[in-house]
Amino acid sequence: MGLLKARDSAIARAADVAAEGDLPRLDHPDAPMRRRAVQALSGDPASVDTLIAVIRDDADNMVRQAAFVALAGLNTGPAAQGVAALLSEADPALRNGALETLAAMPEHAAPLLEPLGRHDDPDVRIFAVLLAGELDYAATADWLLDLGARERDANVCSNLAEALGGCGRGEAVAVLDTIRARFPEEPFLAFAVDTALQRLAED
Amino acid sequence: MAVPNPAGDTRLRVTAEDVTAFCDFFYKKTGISMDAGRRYFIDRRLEDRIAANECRTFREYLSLVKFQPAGAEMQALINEMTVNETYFFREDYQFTCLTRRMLDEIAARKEPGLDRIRIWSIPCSTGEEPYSIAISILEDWPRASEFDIEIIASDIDTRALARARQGIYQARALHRVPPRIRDNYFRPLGKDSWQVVEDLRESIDFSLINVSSPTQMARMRNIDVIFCRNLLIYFDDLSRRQTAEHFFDALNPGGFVALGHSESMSRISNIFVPRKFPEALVHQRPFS
Amino acid sequence: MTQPAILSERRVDGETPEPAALARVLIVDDTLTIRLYCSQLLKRAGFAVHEAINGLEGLEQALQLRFDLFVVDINMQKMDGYAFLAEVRRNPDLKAIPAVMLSTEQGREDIHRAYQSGANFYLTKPIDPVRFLATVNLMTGVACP
Repeated sequence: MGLLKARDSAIARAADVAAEGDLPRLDHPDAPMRRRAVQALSGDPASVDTLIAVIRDDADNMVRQAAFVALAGLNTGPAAQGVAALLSEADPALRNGALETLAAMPEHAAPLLEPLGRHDDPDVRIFAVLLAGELDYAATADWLLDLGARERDANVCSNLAEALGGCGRGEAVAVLDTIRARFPEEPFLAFAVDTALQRLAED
Repeated sequence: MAVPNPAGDTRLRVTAEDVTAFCDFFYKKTGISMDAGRRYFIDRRLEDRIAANECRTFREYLSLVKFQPAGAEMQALINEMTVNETYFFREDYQFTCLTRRMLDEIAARKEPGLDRIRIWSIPCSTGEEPYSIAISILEDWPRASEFDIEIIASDIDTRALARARQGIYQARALHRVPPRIRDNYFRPLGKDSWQVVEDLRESIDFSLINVSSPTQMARMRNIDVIFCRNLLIYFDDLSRRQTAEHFFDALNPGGFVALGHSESMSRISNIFVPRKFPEALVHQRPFS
Repeated sequence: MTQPAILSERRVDGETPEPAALARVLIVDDTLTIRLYCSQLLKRAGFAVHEAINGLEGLEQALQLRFDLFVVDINMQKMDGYAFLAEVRRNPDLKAIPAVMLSTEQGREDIHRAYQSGANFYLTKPIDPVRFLATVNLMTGVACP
């Protein structure tokens, strides 16, 4: 039959083939070698700046993803801060990768909501609201209520409505009502508020 | 006459705090996040292990697990906490997809007689999946004799692996095996019990692996197809993503991952590209 | 104009039949409220609606079921809207399916990038229900307002 038992040594040999003579480097012409260079940095708390630079400069997804996962695995304040800076990048793959990575380090991401919620760019504020939705509401509900009371951008507000609908706090009802009143001409905002109120009532 | 306590007398009962502490510890060691909603399941198994080790407190048991140099109790705990319930040719549309599509694509990039094809079943549990894969290939892939094919089967549970190596199954596990296949690849062991023939048992490489250990995962390379069904559902987002990254590195460019029916790579990682075959949707490592 | 997939009864394997609908639309957006809103509007108007929470899930669905229109957000985890459209336009089976891009971003550059990635139309959020429905009708060819 064609079946053959694998030998551990054969697997190990296969793993080493690429390593001979050619070392992984962040500026290697081959993406798999750059990916290995990124993976070699995992667990090193001093690698944050390097990893962020890789994410910004290396367009290859296999390299970028390794860097995002390495940052998420670090799970430190500086890693979260470095990643949060990517939320205002022009490339949506970077912004959304940053959001996902922040959601994986909730303790260090939660303190960043406050400054992100004051960012000039409404898209960054939307990311902050989406991030809050992925963290534990016990840590984010106060911030959501506070932002809901003052936010003027319709799209930030529609995302706020969705997040407030899941926060389980009675005070959210009044904040949702003010959001509705702020956009009398927008049927979608009214829908978002109604949906959120319904979810709060069900909780 | 005294009525016995339903759980069996004087065993130590774990508290909600103990379970939280345990889940936290277990997650850090294995990447498996235990759902708090499964308290009954966790409590009973944890209490079994505490009783088996004659520990007086939960704390005493936890330090035994943490500091025992050989790690035997950690392994016993993993065995208790991971469930094994499977049968031959479960979700077999994926094996059809393997023998009708994936293997032909893989073979087209290889040199017959020279290159090997490597298939990895993880978690292999008690062996039903890797044996089903092997039988499917031998029966249904016309080019099987042109290539050396390795089937690697791994699990975190040593008891499951021991049973897989033994290859003895009750009729219930064979309910989807046609009689002709059963007679070719199994031998009867008395009433309602069958054993996989020795040739087939010998051809599968069973090994212990913890997918959340980067060093263990780094051993797995040059794989062409990974079957990883209903494992990642037990993991949290980051562990899932890390495992997907390990799978990417284990695969040759163009290699495939098949997940369980209810699992979707689109919620785990974007490092693979979806490939739709008539039989199944699988996930492919891009060529470049 | 070619008939919508759902009218011409083109079936992909494993597909469960749906009640007669004007056309089949896939909404790809990570926000639940948007998916709910679009889905309600379209279902009431007689469309069959499917939803995906990111571009990659959208692509998986598009590979398994035939759609007449994609409604796609830009910002999504795993795969953003531009990347989704780029994949769709590269795929011979999907490249002819029209797509409407939905986004909060109103800058000229984003609109330009949406069309470059393969969008056929661009709508800004918050969604205006009248414009949205008119656009879907136009893109699926099921009605002339």
